[in-house]
Amino acid sequence: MSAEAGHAALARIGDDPHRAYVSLLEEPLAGAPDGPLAGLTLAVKDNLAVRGARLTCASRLLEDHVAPYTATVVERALAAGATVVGKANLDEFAAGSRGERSAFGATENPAAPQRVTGGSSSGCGATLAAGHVDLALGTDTGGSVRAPGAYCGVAAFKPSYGRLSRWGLVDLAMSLDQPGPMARDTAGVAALYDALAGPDPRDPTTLPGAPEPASPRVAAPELDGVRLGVPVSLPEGVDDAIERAFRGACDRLVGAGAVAVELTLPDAKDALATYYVTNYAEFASGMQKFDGTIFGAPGLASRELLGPEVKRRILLGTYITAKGQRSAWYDRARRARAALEHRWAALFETADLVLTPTMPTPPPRRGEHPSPLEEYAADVLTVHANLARIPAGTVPLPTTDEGPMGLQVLGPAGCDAAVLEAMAAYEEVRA
Amino acid sequence: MLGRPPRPHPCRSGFSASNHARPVTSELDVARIARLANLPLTEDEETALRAACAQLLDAFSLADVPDEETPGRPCPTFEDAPVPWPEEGIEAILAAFPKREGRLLET
Repeated sequence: MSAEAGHAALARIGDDPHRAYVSLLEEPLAGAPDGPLAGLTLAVKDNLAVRGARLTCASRLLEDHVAPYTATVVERALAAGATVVGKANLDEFAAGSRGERSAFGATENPAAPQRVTGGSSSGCGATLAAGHVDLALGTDTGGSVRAPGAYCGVAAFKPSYGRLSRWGLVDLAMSLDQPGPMARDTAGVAALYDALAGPDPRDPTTLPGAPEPASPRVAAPELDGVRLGVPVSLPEGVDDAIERAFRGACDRLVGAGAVAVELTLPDAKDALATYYVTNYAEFASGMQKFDGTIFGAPGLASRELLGPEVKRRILLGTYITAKGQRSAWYDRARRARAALEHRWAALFETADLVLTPTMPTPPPRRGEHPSPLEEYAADVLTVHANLARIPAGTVPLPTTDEGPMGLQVLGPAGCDAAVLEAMAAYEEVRA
Repeated sequence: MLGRPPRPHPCRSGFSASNHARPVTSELDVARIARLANLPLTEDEETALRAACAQLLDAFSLADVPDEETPGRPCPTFEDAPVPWPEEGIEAILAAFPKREGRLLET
């Protein structure tokens, strides 16, 4: 789709029936005339800064905030030729897994009407599934590009921590966040990843050295002899249809030359607990800057505008980092995280890559209002990659009557191109 | 003998301790924490958050369990595993920043 056609398609949708966007740019922001992404349209999640455009994080608190600068990853996409068309909807401050927590309305899933898009990069998934843009740039803290990727039937990738710059990203949890490329296929994801990856002097957490380009490997994927780790059992709560589709995908990859290696995943309950304790602590810390001094209305009045999930996380994060509680919660979670990283490093001594379903169920129905614990349980297979700082991507499994599902590929830290290659290999053998 | 006897290695002892430091979440003082967090809450919000937060904290307490699935590897309990950013590391980072003089908002 050309940039002109892409924006025309967006203009035609008028009132944005899927609520995929918080704002469309009045004029698309055209990138360089040449480059690997020239002519491709890009939606940017509205927690990434684009100079002169609103940066709301889907929160009333930042409803009128205009970004004074552009995030490094967006600058690089523009330099590679992409055309930015709008700011995509999300769960408020990226704190959600279903795409129903935006202050500007829940996103609708074009690939599965009446079912959630997944979150928090809900608008990115929806606008890709609707065919309005070629590429989307989300962010992933515990599965936030992979959940909408799986539920909307598109490809999405969470790189190794530090592979993409976080400069210009409004953080949810700074030690877990990574920008994440999304597209309708892995080739699109790899093209966007290649354009964005690499060190950034403005983000000291970026990894040094030039990353291996993924696109050449994705163009001719090769799995001969690659050891794919396949869990003997999946965590409690994984839907039967998901498990059947997942096992079928593993068989197809083995048929393409890969070697299956049985393994046991690290404990799911500990991973979720470690993830959420870390998330609460870092989120509460990061949210202190929204105190009315620079952002929002003066004083603390603007914090009344925050949604219930955001308030819950701030409250819990403040509690578990307070004097007298910190060692029992936050320090303990940091140690648990180190133990989990150790477990994943051990798994990658016996397997080159690990496969799991992306989400434990097909997309849930909208408006079900699960308890926070029930909502968090959907992250059980995705939080591992963020805690262990390793790359993970999702690619669609065959769609069922209940909506799209995803196959997740995880790899050792720094092996981003290998993960994308395996995703592309599955696309070639998928029925 | 001086001091306490060494704790048996968890892999050999089958050690599985509960989180002794786990707080009593039913006594969560939401109003006090909200003040610490600069978070204005209505009474209804306080009530709803008290129940939800207690449930979440109960679910997310981390107990030490031995790593029995990777024989031959060191057994990192949550107490024994290294903290990714040790206190000295954090102090070194903070020391690298120039000291702030005066109040930030004074001109």
